[in-house]
Amino acid sequence: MDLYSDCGVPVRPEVADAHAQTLDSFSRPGTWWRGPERTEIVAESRRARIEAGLQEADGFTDQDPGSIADLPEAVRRVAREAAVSPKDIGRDFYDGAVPEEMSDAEYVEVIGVVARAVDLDVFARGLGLPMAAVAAPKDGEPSRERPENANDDIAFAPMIHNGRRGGETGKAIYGENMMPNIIRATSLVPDECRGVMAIAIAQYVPLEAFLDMSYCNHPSVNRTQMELVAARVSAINECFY
Amino acid sequence: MLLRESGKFHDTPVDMAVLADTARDSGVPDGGALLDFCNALTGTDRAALDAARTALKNRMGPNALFEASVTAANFSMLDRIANSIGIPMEGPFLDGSADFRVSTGINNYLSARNTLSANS
Repeated sequence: MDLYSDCGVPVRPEVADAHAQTLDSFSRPGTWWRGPERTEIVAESRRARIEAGLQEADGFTDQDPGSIADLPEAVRRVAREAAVSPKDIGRDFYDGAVPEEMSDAEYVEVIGVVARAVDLDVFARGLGLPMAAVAAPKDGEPSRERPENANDDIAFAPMIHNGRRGGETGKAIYGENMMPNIIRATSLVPDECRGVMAIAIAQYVPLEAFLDMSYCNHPSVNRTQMELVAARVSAINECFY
Repeated sequence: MLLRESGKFHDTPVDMAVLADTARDSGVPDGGALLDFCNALTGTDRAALDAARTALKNRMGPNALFEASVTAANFSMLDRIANSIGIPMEGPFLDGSADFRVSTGINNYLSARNTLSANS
């Protein structure tokens, strides 16, 4: 039985699988944050969205205050802003957190976790479902592996280049493809990058169909209708990209 | 830009101004129901969301409700990553959107600085 088997709306199996893997990833040790910390980053994102009225509390059970993971206040601040008001995040916000209060890679992992959590929560809200439960955090230490060749400095945080300049790490993440900046954005934390790619490809369009305007996931919504939804959501979030 | 290009492919010219003013007719079939759903899904009025969800499902079917929800979710994720990491837009996409970015106010977004300041 998959995550959405009894939700009353036909959910594509690859989306259900990607969402299940995403939920599982939240409770496991990441690259810079432990399982309890990642789980708490998701919880902080959810609390912020519920408080802002952007998400119903259905499905969210807050932890006993005594068992909530200790998380730096700056991480909570970044998680809340990204969850609720991405339009207000610019260079000053990043510089206010990095490197004084967290490293660039720690920041990227927080953003990756929050962005993926909001994805699942917006999806649930769209269908009128409760938020999907995150499993209890797993023990273990983060890998703390920083890719050597993350030196493309066109964004706030460094990214791994496409092609030869990306080295073996780039090839391992991107394959032989030239990836757009949005896919490379979280490559300073390769596991986050892989997680974003997996969910985006399942939900939106396969990479090879990106410029195929005849592509659709279901005949009830053609590519223009998909792009209208995408563009309007991005306008609301004031995302220039 | 993909919105306009896909509209050309499907012979449905898109009024790009609808991105800033959703009261306009986008030119996209069932565009009104899709835009109402987007606005409600990203807003704080639960009753409006329930109504928009029902209207979309009745008009376009349950598969369309799923596709609209999963597309909105996807861009809720990608927008947060793009703005928070500060990535610039690639040149070809930048050139292809120049005409409507001014009229729709897109150039005034805080996140526009990540691209426009690098190109100025």
